[in-house]
Amino acid sequence: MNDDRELDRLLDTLKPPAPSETLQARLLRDFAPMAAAPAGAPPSPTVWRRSGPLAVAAALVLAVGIGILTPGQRLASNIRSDVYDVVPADEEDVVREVFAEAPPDSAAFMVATFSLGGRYEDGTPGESGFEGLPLD
Amino acid sequence: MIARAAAGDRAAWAGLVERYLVAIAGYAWYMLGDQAEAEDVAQETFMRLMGKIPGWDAAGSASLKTWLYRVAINQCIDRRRKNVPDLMETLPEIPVGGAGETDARFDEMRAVAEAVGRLPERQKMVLVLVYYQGFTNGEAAELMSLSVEAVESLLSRARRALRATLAPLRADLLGRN
Repeated sequence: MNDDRELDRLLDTLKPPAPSETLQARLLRDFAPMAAAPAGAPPSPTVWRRSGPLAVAAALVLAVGIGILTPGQRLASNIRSDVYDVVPADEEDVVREVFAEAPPDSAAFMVATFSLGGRYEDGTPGESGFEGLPLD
Repeated sequence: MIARAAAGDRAAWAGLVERYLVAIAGYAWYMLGDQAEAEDVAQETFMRLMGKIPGWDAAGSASLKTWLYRVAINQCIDRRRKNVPDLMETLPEIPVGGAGETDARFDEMRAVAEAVGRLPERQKMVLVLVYYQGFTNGEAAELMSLSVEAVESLLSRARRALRATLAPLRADLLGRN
C-alpha cells in the first residue's frame, strides 16, 4: 500500500463505541465537587433506600438460590465467582458496588438480585420467573 | 464553566462531561481496546477532575483538555502494563447493509484493529492523538513530553508500519472488485 488516502480510509473504519448511558448517568449522579475529601479522609457513606419486608424476603430467597448470599455470613465474601459472568460489562461496577456495600434489605440489593436472577442460566433457582430489571 | 462546576452547578458539570467524555473514553478505547476498561478510565478521569476543580487555578493550570488527557494517558499506560487486552473483543457494531458489503467492512475493521493494536505503545499513542483525536503534532508533543520532531517521527513510523501490515488487505479488496 502506498496511498495515504487509502490508509486514512481504512483507519476511518475504526470508530470507538459511544460511552454507555450508565457511565454518563453515574458521572452526573455522583457530582459533588464541594465534597472533595482531603487526602486520607474516608469516603462518605452511601445512603441506601430500604425495601419493604416482602420484597426483602423474595430478594433474599433468590440471592441464596443463585449463590450471591450465604445465610449467616458477610455478603461481599460469599459471591460465587461466576455470578458476574451474567452481568453486562457496563453494569458490572454498579452490581459489584451493590453487593459489596448495599445491605440485603435495600432496594438496590433487591433490584440487582432480581436482575441477576433473570439472567442466570445454569439451572439454579431464579433461572425463570424473573425478567432482568434495570439497575438504575 | 469550571468555576461554576466548582461552585456546585450541576448544569456546568454536565456541560463538561458532555464536552469531553466522548473524547476521553474514545482515546482510552483506542489505547486499551476494551470498552469496559475505557469507561473505567473515563470515569476515574472525571472523578479526579471532580476533586480537582474546587481548587482549579485557571491561570496557573494546564488547559482543562490537556489536564484530562494527561490523566487518561497515564491511566492507560498503567492499565496496559498490567494486561494486554484484545481490541477485537469490542469491535463496534457494524451497520447492516448488503451481506457482501458487511463482510468486507468487518474484514477491514478486523484488520485495522489488529494492525493498530500491534503498534508499539508510543506510535499508537501519537496515531490516536493526532489522527483520531485531532491534536496537532505540537499539542501531542506537549502531552507526551516529546519534541515535535519526535512526534513526527513516531507518526511517520506508525503509518509506515500500518501500510505494510495492511497491504495484504488492500490487495485482497482489490481482488474482490
